[in-house]
Amino acid sequence: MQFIPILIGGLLLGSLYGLAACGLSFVFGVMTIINVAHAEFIMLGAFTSFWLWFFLKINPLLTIIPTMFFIFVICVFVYRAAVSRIVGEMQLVSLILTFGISIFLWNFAQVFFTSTFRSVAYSTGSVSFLGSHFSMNKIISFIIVSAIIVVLHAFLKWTRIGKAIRAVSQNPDIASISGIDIDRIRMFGFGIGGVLAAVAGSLIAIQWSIYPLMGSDLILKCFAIVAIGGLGSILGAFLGGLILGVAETIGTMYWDATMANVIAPLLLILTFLLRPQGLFGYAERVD
Amino acid sequence: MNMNKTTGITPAEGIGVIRKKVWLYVIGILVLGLLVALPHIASAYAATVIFILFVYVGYAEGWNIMSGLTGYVNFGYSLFAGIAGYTSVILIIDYGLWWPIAWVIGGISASIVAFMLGMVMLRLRGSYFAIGMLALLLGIQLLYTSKYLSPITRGGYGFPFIEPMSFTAMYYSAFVIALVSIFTTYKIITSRFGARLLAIREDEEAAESVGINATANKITAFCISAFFGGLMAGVHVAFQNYIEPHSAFNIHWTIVPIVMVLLGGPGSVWGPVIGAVILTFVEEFLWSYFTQAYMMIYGVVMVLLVLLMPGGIIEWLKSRGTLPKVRTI
Repeated sequence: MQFIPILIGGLLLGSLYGLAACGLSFVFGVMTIINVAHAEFIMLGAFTSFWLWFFLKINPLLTIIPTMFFIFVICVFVYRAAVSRIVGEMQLVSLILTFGISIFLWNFAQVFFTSTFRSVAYSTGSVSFLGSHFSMNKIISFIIVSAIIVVLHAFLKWTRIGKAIRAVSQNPDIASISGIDIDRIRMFGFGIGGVLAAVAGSLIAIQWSIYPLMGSDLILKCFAIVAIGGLGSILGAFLGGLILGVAETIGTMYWDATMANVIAPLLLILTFLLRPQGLFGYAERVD
Repeated sequence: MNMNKTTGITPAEGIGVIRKKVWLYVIGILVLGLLVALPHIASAYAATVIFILFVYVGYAEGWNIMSGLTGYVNFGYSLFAGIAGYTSVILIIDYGLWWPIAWVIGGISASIVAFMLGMVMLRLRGSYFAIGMLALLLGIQLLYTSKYLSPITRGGYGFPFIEPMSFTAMYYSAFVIALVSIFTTYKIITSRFGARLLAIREDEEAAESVGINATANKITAFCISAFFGGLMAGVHVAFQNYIEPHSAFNIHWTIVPIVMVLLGGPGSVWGPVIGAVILTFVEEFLWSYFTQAYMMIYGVVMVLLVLLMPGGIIEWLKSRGTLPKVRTI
């Protein structure tokens, strides 16, 4: 058993985790809401992608684009109908609200999609590297994730709307005085969180099997990653994802496949207790 | 209690208040009598529904004692149900203990775990605590499945069959536990301890600045909460006749009490009971018509409650003036 291939496998897995957690961190950054339903948006994204491929025979990678739009629309609706009413209230209120949304969505999926395990049969072969084989799907997924992170970073850094989003996340009151429509920006931010979830869902659909309860398995990993990376930090989320991916792969290889799932909750609690601001976050007073 | 002294109402109104109280007692005693006689007069189905109602009342009051009073939302509540359920089943099957004793020890074991977890977790604030508890729920569930605890917990299979006990005995046990949980909540809410917990909910810094040891009070509430959740879980598991990690630690047993307490009114004595009564019958109705869809309704109810009625039914009735604005309700 060589170490380098395991490490690479871990990084490939971790990039996907990072993208999955990115939206959660982003939405928190923009409006200090912990979106428990985030993993359910990932699940919806995965299923949208799956159905598009299943019924319309669209190339699974191309389904990412319509899926992004679809989840964006759903997120905007959810924001308008529910989340916008509780922005700025206590975090626990938003936690319970989004938990309710999450319960609704996963049971909705269970009723309408049934709890069968499904997967998109999409294979592009494998490549040999350093004497071991890597599935091409995972490498494609890694490239797409990296591209999305770069695009998101550039978007936030240089575009007008990206700057507005950063302004709202730093100080909503001042942003509002400066003429930014903070409600619109938050709606847009919540939608972008959904878009990130949608891409993660589509990429998950071509690699793993998907099922309505996948969200509840994923959400804790997302929480752990966001905790490690620091709430609100996108690069932190990505790096946190890589850390968790490598840790889980090593855990699976050298310890036990089921017990590797303990790593995420363990890391989460350790980070909360020892370094609540996360590895890359900075200490901040939250009132 | 001494309402007429403190509110200064006229004697005529006073008689009205007393009459109202007498009616309340009469109705209360009638309901209690009906519930006591129910297993002998009603169908087995009706008795089962009421039994489930008692279980939910116990769960909901347990969750309420911690989360309703201190505002620390516990997303890992079913952790205690799972631990206590397992403890009681292991004691009964492997050590041949008498059921009620095993249940009580199960509740105590949940309390001990709550104490140990609380020492660490309750130093976290608000959302961190909620998410940390969710993580612990998953971690401990995995631990019960794992090979390390398998010799005791039988791994992922659990105990597929537990010798059933008489339904009447379970019915009365659940009834008594539910009543005790309501009474305990009443006692806590009307005590100085309850006032301290409510102070923590409203403003933890302010509470600490007047000399309340917030962490110690939260840990105490956490242990009591876990005890009732665990005690009821023992009866519940006996009724289900089997235990395995997935069902025992299922997040369903966290969601149900949360929705019930939010519906009735967090931090009140009767709120969780009202929530449990409404949702048990709604669930029973929905379950028989839409077997799979009823959980969706829970999600919708949760969202609507947060948006439209954040204080639950009790607060709503108090603000309308139907109920007096006192803490004892």
